[in-house]
Amino acid sequence: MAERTFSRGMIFGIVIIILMFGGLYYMLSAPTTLNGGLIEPSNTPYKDTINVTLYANALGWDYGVKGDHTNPTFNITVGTRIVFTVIEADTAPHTLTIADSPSESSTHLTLVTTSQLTQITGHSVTVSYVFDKVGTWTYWCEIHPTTMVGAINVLASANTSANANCHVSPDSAQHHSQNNNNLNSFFEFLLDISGAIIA
Amino acid sequence: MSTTDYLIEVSVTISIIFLILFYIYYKYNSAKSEMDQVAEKNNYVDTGSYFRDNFGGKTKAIGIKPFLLNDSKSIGIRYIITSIIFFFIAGTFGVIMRVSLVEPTPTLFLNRTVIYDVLTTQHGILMIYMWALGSALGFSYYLLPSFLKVKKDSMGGYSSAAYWIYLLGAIFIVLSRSSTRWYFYPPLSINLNPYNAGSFNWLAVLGMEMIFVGVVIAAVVVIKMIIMDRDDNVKIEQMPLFAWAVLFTLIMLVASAPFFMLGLAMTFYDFFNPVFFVSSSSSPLSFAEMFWIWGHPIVYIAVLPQFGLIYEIMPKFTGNKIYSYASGVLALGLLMPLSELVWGHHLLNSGFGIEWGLFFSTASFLVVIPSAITVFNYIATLWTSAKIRMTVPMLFVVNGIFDFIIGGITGVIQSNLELNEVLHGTYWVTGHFHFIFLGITTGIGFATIYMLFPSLTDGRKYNVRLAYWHFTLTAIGSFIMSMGWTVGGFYGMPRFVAGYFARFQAFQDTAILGGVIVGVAQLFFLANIFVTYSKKPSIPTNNALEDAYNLPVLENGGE
Amino acid sequence: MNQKYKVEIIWIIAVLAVLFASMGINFYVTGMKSFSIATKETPGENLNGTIIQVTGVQWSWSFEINGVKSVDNFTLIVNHTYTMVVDSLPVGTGQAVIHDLLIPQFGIQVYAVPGQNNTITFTPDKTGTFIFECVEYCGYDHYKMRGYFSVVD
Repeated sequence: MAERTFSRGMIFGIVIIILMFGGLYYMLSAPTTLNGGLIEPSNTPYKDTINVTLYANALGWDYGVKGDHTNPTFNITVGTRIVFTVIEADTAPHTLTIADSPSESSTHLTLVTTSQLTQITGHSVTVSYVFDKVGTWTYWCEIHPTTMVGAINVLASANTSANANCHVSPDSAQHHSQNNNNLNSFFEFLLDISGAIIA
Repeated sequence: MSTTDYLIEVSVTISIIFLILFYIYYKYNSAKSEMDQVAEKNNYVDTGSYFRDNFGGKTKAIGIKPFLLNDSKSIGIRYIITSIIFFFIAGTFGVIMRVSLVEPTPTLFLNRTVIYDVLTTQHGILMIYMWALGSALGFSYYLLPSFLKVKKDSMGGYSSAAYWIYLLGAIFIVLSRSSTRWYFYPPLSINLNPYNAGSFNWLAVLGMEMIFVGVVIAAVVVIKMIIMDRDDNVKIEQMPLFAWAVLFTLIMLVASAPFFMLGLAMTFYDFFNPVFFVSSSSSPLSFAEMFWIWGHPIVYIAVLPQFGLIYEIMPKFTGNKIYSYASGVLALGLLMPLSELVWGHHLLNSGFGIEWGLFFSTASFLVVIPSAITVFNYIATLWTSAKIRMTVPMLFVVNGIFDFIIGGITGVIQSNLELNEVLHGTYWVTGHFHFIFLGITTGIGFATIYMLFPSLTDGRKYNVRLAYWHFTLTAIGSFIMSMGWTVGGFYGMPRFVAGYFARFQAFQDTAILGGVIVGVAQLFFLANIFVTYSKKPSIPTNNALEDAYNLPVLENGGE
Repeated sequence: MNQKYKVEIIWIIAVLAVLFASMGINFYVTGMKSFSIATKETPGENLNGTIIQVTGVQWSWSFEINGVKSVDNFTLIVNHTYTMVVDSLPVGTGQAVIHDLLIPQFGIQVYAVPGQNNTITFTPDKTGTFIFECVEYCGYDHYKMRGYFSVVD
C-alpha cells in the first residue's frame, strides 16, 4: 500500500513538470510566418541567373536605387534563376513571398520570412528561386500586401532581359530623417517628460 | 480490394465495436444496480452519495480513482488536480514571457514576437478559466457535500460529462496557439494568420465554447446541490458563508455566460462569412459589449468563492466566530447584481459618449461598498480574536486581505472617468488585477489546498518549512511584481507589448524580478508534493475545514 | 456588544479620516496649474480646432494635419486647439482591427474603431517632446505602434 501511494504522488509531480515543459515547448514552436503550397525547387536546372536587389520599405518595393516605391515589374524567360537580395529600408517587418499567378492566391512560398529579417535598416538577406513556369507571377510582402506588391512576367521566348522602371522621389529621404530625429531627441524628451509629470 | 469486401470489413468492425460497447454498458449497468441495492441497504438515497461517503474511505486522494468515479467528491478532486496542473502550465508561460521583456527591444523572442503574444494569451485564458474557475468549482464540489450534509448525489453523470467537455475545451485552447488575448476582439480574431490571431484561432473559439458548456452544466448542478439537496437540518439562513458565496457566484455565471457564448458562436460564423463584427455591416465594438457583459462577472467569479473560503478558514485560526454573518451574506449578495452593472467601464474610451462613461463609472464606485463591508468583516474578525495562530493558510489569508485592499483601491482609482483615460490599457490595470488574483485567487486557493492536504494525500502532513517558503516568496514576489506594474502603468507603460520605450525599463525589470520570485515560489509547492509523498501517511484523512461541520471538536488536521 | 460598537466607531472614524486625507491630496495635486500639460474638453464639443486626422493601420499611426501626412511622428503648436479624428483602416486583404491611441502625459485616450470616427479636442499647454502608443492589442507588431511627437512654440 505504501509503495503504491508513494509512486502515485511522485507521478503527479512528474506529470506537472512534464506538462509544464511540454506546453512551453509547444508554444515556443508556434509558427511565426505563413506557409503556402509552392515548393522551393532546389534541384531544378536553370539556364540563366539574374541578380535583383530589392529594398523593402513599407511604402513599396524599391529596385536598385533606394528611395523609390514603384514596385518594379520584372520580365524574365522561363527557367531563369533570380537571386533576390532583400535590403531592409525601414524598421518594419517584411516578407518576400511569391505566387505563380497574378493574384495573391493560396499557393505561394515565402522566400524571406520575418525571422530572417532583423528590422534594422540596411540589413540584407539573399535568396534564390528558379522560375520554371510561364505566366505572370506575383511577389509581395505578406505584412504590407497592398503597398508592397509587384509582378514577374515569365516569358517563353528568350528575347527579353530583366528590366525595371525606377524614378527617385524625395519622399522616403524625408521619412528616414524623421526617424533619425526620433532617436536623437531621446534623452531630451526623457528629461522633459519626467520633469513634467513629477511637477 | 473490391467494394463488397470493403463493406463487409467495415460492417464487421462496426459490429465488434458495438458488441464491446454493449458489453461495457452491460457491466456498468449490472454494477450500478448492484451498488443501488447496497446503497439502499445502507439507507442512502442514491448510489452517488453512498460512493461519496463510503467508497475508498471517507475522502479520496490525488490519483486516478477520482477520474473514474462520478460522485461529487471525486469530481471535486478532478477539478482541483486539473486546476493545479494548469496553474503550473500557465505559470511557466507567464514567467517566460516576463523574462523576455528584460530589454526594451525583444531579446528572447527577437523576430518571433508572436510567441510573446501566444504566451500572453494562453497565460490569461488558462489562468482565468482553468485555475480560478476550475479551483473554485473543485472546492465547491469537494466541500459543499460536507458543509451542507447533502443527501442526494444523483447528478454525477452530468458533472462528469461537463468535466470532460471542459477539459477537452482547455486542450483545444492550448493546441490552437491562439494569440488574440483572452478577449477575442473580432476584427483581429477573425484574421486567421500568425500576424493577427494565429492560424488556428477557430480552434480556440471552439474550445472556449466547450469550456462554457462544461462550466454552465457544472454550475447548474452545484446550484441544484445548494438549493435542493441540502439536509433538512441546514436552513438556508444558516448556510455556511462559503455556500452563499458559491451560490451567488454561480447564479452570476449562469446569468452572464450566454452573452459571450452567443458572441463566440457569431464569431465562429464570421470566420466563414464576416458579417456580424466587421465595420462593413456592423460595429466591431458590438462584440466587445457582448464580451464584457460576461467578462466583468468572470473576474468576480474568480474572487467570490475565495471570499467565502476566507470566511471558512479564518475562524479555524482566530478561535472566534465570523464578526457578522448577516453583513457577510449581504456583501456577497450585493456583489452579484453590481458586478453585472459595471461591465461598461472596460469600454470607457471607445467612443460611446460621456453619459455612458458617467453611468458605468458611478456604478463602478458602488462596488466599493460590498467589497469594503467584506474586508471590514475580515478585519473585525481578526481584531476581536483573542489569539491568532499564524499558520501557513492563515498567512495566505492575511496576505490576501492586504493585497485585496491595495488591488481594490487601485481598481477604484481607475474607474474615475478622467484617470481611466490615462490608465486604461496600461500596466496599471495588470497590476490591479494581479494584486487581487495573486493575493485572493491564488493565495486563498493554496491556503485551501494546504487545509485539505491530509485529505488530498491519504493523510500526510505537508512540510511546514517548504510551505512557509512558498508563502513568503509568493507574497514578496507578487507584491514586487504588481507594484512595478502599477507604478509603471501610471506613467503610461502599455500592456501586452513585446517591446517598450526604454524609459520604462526600470519598472519592467522590477516586475521581472517579482515574477521570477513568484515562479520560484511555486516550485516550493511542487517540492512539497515530492517531500510529502516520500513519507508514509501519519495522520487521519479528515481535514479541519470539513470537520467544523462534521465533528464537534476541532483537531489539528489543518497544520 | 459594547466592545463591538467601540471597534466599529473607531473603524468608521479611521476610514473616514484616510478617505478625506486622500481626497484633499487629490484636490491639491490636480488643482495645481503645473500639473496640467494639456487641457481637454468633453468629446463631441468644440470641433473648431485644427483637425488631426489620425489613422491606425497594422502597425503604424499616420497623422494628417493641414494636408501634411506623417507616420509615427507629428508636431503641434502650443496653446492651439486641436481635434483628433481617429479611425482604423485595413491593410491588405484582412479586416481592419481595433487600435487605441494613448498619450499618457496629455491624459488622452481614444479607441480607433474601424468604421467609426472617435474625436477628442485638446489644447497643449507646454512645449516638449511627448510619447504616444497603441494600447489595444492589434497583432504582430503591436508594440511598434508608438512614437514621439513634439509641441513647439
